[in-house]
Amino acid sequence: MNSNNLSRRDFLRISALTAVSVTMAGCATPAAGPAPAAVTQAPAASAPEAAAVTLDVMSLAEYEAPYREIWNYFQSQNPSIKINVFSINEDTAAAHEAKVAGGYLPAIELTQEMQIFFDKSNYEMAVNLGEIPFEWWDRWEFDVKNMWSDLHNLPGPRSLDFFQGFVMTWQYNKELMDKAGLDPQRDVKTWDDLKKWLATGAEWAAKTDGVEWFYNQAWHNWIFGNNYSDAIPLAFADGQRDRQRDCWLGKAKFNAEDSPYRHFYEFFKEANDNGWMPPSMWTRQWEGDMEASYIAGKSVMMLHGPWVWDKALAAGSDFAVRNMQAGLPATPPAEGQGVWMQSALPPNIDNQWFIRAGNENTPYWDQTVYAWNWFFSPEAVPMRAQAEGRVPLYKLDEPLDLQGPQYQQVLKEIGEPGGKWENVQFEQGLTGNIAAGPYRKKGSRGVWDWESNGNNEVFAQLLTGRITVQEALDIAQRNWDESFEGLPAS
Amino acid sequence: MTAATERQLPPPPRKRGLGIAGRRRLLRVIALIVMLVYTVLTLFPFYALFVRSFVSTRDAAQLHLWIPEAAEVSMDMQVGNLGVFYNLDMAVIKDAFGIPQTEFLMARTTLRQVAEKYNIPEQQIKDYFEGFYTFNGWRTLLTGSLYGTTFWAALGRTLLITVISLTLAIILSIFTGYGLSGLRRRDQMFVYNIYLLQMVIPAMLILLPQFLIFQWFFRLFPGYNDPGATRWGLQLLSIILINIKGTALSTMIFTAAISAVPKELEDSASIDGASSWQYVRYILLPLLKVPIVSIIVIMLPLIYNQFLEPYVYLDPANTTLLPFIQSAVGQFSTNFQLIYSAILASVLPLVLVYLMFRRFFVEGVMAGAIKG
Repeated sequence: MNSNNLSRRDFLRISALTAVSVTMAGCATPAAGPAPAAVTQAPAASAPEAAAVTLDVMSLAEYEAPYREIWNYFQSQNPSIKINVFSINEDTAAAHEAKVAGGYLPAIELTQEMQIFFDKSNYEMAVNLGEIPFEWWDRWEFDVKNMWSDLHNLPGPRSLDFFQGFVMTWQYNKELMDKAGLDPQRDVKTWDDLKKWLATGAEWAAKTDGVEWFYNQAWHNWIFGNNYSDAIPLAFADGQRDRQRDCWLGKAKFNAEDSPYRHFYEFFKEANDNGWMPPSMWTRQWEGDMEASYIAGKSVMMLHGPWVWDKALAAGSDFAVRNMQAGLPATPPAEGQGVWMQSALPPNIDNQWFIRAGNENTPYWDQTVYAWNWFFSPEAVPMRAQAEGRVPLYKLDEPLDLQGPQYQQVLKEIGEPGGKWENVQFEQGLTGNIAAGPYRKKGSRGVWDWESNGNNEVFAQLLTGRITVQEALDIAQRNWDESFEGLPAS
Repeated sequence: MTAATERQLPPPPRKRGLGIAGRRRLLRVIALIVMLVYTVLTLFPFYALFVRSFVSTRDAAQLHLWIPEAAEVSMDMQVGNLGVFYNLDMAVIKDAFGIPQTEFLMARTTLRQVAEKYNIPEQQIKDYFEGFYTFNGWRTLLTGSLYGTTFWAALGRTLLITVISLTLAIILSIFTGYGLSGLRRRDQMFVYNIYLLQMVIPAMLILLPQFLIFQWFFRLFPGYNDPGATRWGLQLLSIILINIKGTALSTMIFTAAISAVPKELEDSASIDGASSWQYVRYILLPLLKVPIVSIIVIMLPLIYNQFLEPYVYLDPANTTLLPFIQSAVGQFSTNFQLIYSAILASVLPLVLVYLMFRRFFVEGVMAGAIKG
């Protein structure tokens, strides 16, 4: 080889040197980015005068189109602020957070799909909303500015929401219900009626072609962990939320003989053993099996939140478009329980909309604050309430004729004199889960272990007879023992 | 033998079963049937995908072996719900019906109310949504946009990244393999093994640190207010760099292939006055046809179908095919019709490439197979 040729040894040497050089260049001080704007108090009433900026704003995935239209409207009124609406789902939440960890900084985000609940371990990741110029604190029907801070004894709030918490009601296809010859609104007045109704409906579905299930149930770790566990016991005198709270605050035991949560497990066990709900419920997919079956008109009823009423409409399901969806409050009273209670989770004070810390150092902070203010203004709140079909706990300038189908069919008449459900009462006090939230150990599994889907295994064992209701409650108590500390009463 | 005895003899026994030719024919028929069944089984998912791309999400839970009868979009449908389920931007609807963008289309407004409020003939709305039930997926895919980009733009970016990544990966791997193939000593082999070690590191594991490195160099995020072209170019470059960095598999293949080339060949080329470059270009490269084809066969679908890195590194408006398709997936609401259409459309270019270059792939693989 002549001297102009590169030997393999030289080739490798040069390659190694190049790699080292590039690595060292990477370790050098990076070029400074644009200087952050000073944290200013943005005037909220009018759009800040500045060069056009683009803000990335997360949307609720379920209602992305209506939310996009809300921001379309904002943009038409504020041409200097362009809004990139985006949403994530459970599958892409981790990738989104990786992006954020790498420095991506959306202007407004939503905790829902990321399952973030603000507490002592993570509150600093969000801007303290109490310190930004915000015009609408006095519009809330609850003490939104101080509730989270008072509970956690931390500076806040870190997130904002104005809706009544999620409400799970029975929801059914009235056409199929009529075919079954059942009228739940007439016949179901007590918990026993409900069980008879489930039994009769299951019998009818079993012998009817084209109907898969009467009571259609599938698995959802969050719903079972946060909603059903709270709602089902409310049918019973000893299952009310104050008693549930006692368990969470260490004043009572989850596995006691009179535990409110015994009813939660017993109901699903009974429904499974009697064939009222699909077998192997814990293996069925919430959307792919349960919702799709309902939307396709192949099953009659579900215990569900507000959005499938809309999904059936959106999909153009004949029965839904013909306004043949109906429902009834979730938990008619069992013997000894005087009042028909309808569970509503308390308003979200530890999750939902937030501004990630770091935004206050960006050059477009004023615009972010302006957009945030508008998003919670009396102009935007009715738009958002209609989009989600949920009740705003917010004082509006004009009465709102909320059109959401769950609201129209069930919630509207709860507690209303002369209404279908005038004797039903909402329970929307603090849940035990939230009350005990400040005392939960970081990284612990919590009572129901729903974050890691551990509650699925408990249900699998319970419904296949490998453990008893008592043993399921023992697991809950053991989880509580391991997960909470420093409670005043414990 | 007399005629009488002949008559008394029993007829010769007829052969039972098939002769050799018959057996061959039977085997051929059986083989043909097996191949036909296998072909049907192989092609059925594509057929199902094709049919599903014309099935409305409303009927997604049912089995369809052919495109179902279309249903008309009801005038009682609410625009918000239509938008959610069919990935419709209200801004596009407003444009289509001449409604000013400054107007707010409340989610619960029905199509009938829209017609009344803005004095739009109902027939115009019905015409707009005609064929919506059946063709929504394809229409949204081919003419609509999601998160500020279109299917065509996403496809273009995917092809760009794939072609550049593959070309660079092959070139770099050949040179790396050329360098590493000469290593024989134990300490030198250690370098080689270290190089290959990255094959066992899952991409997910290094996603974040890797992203931080790119962020450090390129400042990909935050930066959505920076000039788009530069940032988008750097984002695409990041994906290409990820694809070509430390391509351990291709390096291993090329190292092995180059090691198998006799050293004497290089020496004789050198005696004849060829430089190293000339040796690589005119002697080594033609001998590497098989590994090059193998690498293309292995890496083409991997790069083309890349999801994780593009999802993290690219702006939604600057994204590639798979994240684009994924963006139609909601938390609980998914436009399955669009998803199926998009998957089918995204698979087609890959199938076309394989069909067009099938001869080369087969030749390449066969050349390796009969090598002594």
